[in-house]
Amino acid sequence: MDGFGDSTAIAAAGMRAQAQRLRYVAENISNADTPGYRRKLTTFQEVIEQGRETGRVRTGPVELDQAAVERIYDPSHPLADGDGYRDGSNVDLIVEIADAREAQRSYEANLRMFDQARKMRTSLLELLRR
Amino acid sequence: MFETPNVMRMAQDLASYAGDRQSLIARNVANADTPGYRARDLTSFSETYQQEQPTRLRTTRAGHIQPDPAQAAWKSRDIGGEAAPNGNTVSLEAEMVRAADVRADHDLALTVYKSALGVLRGAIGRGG
Repeated sequence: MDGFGDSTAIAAAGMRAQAQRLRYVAENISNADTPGYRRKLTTFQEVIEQGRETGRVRTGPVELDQAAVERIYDPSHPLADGDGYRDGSNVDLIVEIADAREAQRSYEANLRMFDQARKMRTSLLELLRR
Repeated sequence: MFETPNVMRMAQDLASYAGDRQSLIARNVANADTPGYRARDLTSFSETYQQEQPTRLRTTRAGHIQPDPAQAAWKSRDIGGEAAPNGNTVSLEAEMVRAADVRADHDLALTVYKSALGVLRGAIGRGG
């Protein structure tokens, strides 16, 4: 087994998963004011090939946050019901920003692993250069 | 018959240990947000190397099978630690420290190997 090829593939899978998560965060933030929008949650799963754990990670099917959407009192809004309320979204910007930070941190950690595996392989190949 | 000097074989083992450990660390880091994932690490090199001399079967004929000595003898173990609410036990800080250890181990192995190679070359007479 080529340990370094494995390492770089695993780190790349991790980066891809974190980038996907950041994308969902961006979607949530941009839809913070969309009536009736439910925030998307990222799920992570370990990739299993032929019954064996490969160590790689991927994002699973997207899940929607089942928390109740905000009810906003706004009688003049075209979507308002008989009592003057309309649906907002259940996006909490603070939570989204925190999630984005965490995704960034994990992404950087994966990137560092990728870089280290690459450097180790390079120094290994240096042996042949003399 | 040319036999690999012991020091070179040991350096080789340390380098492959570092490679395997690196791939395990990459695995932990990639799964830092996977629910229920438990962080793993290899047992330390010095510990494993002491017990590594496996009992060999005697081979009296060319067709006899021998366990591959290059097969990694290191065992991975669950390092435990505090679990996040989703059951994940990966700590990115601890993984970074381990990665630095791996880097140092790998550099050490390659440096030793390189200098042993220099000694060999010197012995052959081409100069280090």
